[in-house]
Amino acid sequence: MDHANTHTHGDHGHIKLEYQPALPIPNGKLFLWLFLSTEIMFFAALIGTYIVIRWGAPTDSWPAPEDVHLVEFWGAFNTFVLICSSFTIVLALEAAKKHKTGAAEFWLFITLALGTLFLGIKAYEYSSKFQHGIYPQKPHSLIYEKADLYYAAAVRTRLDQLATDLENKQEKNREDGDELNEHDQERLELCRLLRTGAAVWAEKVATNTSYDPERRQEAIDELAFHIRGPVGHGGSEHHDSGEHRPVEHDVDGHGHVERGSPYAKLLSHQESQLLTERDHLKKKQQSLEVAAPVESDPPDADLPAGGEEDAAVASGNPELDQLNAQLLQVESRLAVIGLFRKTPHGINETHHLKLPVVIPSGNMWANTYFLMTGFHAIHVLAGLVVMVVGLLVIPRMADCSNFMECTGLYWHFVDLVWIFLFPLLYLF
Amino acid sequence: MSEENTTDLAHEDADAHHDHGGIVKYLVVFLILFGLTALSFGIANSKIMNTPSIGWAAMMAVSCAKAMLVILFFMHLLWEANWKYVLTIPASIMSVFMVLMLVPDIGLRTNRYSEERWQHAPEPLQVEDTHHEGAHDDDPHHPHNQPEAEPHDSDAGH
Repeated sequence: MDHANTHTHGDHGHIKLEYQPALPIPNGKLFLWLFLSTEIMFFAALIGTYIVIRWGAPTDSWPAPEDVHLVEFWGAFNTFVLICSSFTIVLALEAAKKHKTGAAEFWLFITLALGTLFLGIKAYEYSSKFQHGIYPQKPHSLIYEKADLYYAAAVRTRLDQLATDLENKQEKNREDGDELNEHDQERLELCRLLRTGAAVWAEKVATNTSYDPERRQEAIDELAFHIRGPVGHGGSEHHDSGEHRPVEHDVDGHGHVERGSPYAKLLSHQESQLLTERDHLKKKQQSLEVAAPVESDPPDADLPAGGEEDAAVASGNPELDQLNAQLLQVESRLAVIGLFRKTPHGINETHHLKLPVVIPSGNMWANTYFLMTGFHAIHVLAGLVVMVVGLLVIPRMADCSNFMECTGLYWHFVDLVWIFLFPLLYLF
Repeated sequence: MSEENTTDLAHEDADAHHDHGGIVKYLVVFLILFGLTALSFGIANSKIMNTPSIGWAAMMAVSCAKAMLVILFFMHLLWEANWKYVLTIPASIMSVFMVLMLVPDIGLRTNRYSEERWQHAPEPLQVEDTHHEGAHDDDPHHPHNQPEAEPHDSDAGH
């Protein structure tokens, strides 16, 4: 029957108009779809920006997941969690349509639980990034884009800061008649050793104009490498000559560098060069001391006392001073090479010093990653809040299917965004 | 053909698809989604990624398939009336257009980079305090190493 144009006959001048809804859906649903279209634009902007930034970055510089401690499994598991939650909220809607309020509430609660699980896993992922010094922005972010002198200086500054903090603690403890505990004492010595033997060493080699530029750049590259640790087995395109860097199978049962591996050979080679230099310097030192005997620190101090290496020995002879300083440097470097043997996974991983790391395009990666997943997480949280409200309000509602439908639409949209975010961020 | 577009009939139309076993199709869609997720994970870890662009295209295709399934079935759009096109088509056009607009000027900006620019872009700010003797000798773009356009005092402050 045609209901479209009903007007009663015989009522002249009194036409009964029938309200025609614009769309055959409730207002809430219409509103929500309009809102979702704005959300599509919102996320399209973010995802589009990520796409152009990522593919516009210098070739092969974009960090691989293992470079930035991104575990693809958790992304996949989160995807699974969200898909399950989409399914359960559909079940909630179906129950609501059949007026089974209890079942609807149950499925809504399960959806809420799955959403909370998603956020929990996200929080775990974020915390693991923060632990490795990967933050969206500086000054928190420890990521440097290039292994240059600014980076070496930043490493030195950080080591100085760590040492100063520990020394202050030592001072405070000494006031109470106490000493630093063993762990802190080791850390202090480690910081001093790394400062002299790694950071300052790299700076000195890099600024030594008598070396060729490659060797100078490699000094800082090596520093960056030792701090960050190796990339995964098989490497990635942006690291050169695999034989200079340890890969996973170069690590022996004790977590040290495997003897006989290419990397161990490189370290041994450096070590033997340094030992030769040390002997040479010691001979010179002895000859100088014989010529003009002066008070100096006993030569059996293998580790530097810390602080300014140039002021470690005060003797009247400037040449001897310089020699002693050089000797100190070489000794530190030898000790540091011994340390490198024990830390094939990188100093940051093993000793948790939070030293600056070099990850090319790392800051861009962190920016886009945190922005996209952060906004997505905020949307998930908003959805969870709506669900909590729903759980409280539904018992009082005669027909909750409209509410359930709208919540469902929003939640499915959140799932949709994640369906696109997951491959873009984790798998590409 | 008479077009009945009133509220009642629209609801009737939609309800006709919901029988007691309505849950089964959602379950099937859910399992397909799970399978597609595993597929995209598998593609990412397979040899297809040796040619990255093909791998990316495959993963995007999987994502689009998942998205279509969620939109059509979970969001119920398969059974909705024509108004769905009013919302979805302009939004899709806008989102695609937005990305395409950014590609020439930003996405492809590096196509015209010289080798030197690749190596040295962007340069950090000059920080006078942390200069070391000869710190920038290996950097041909550093002002200290540029051919002297005007006389400057190279002894000052270093």
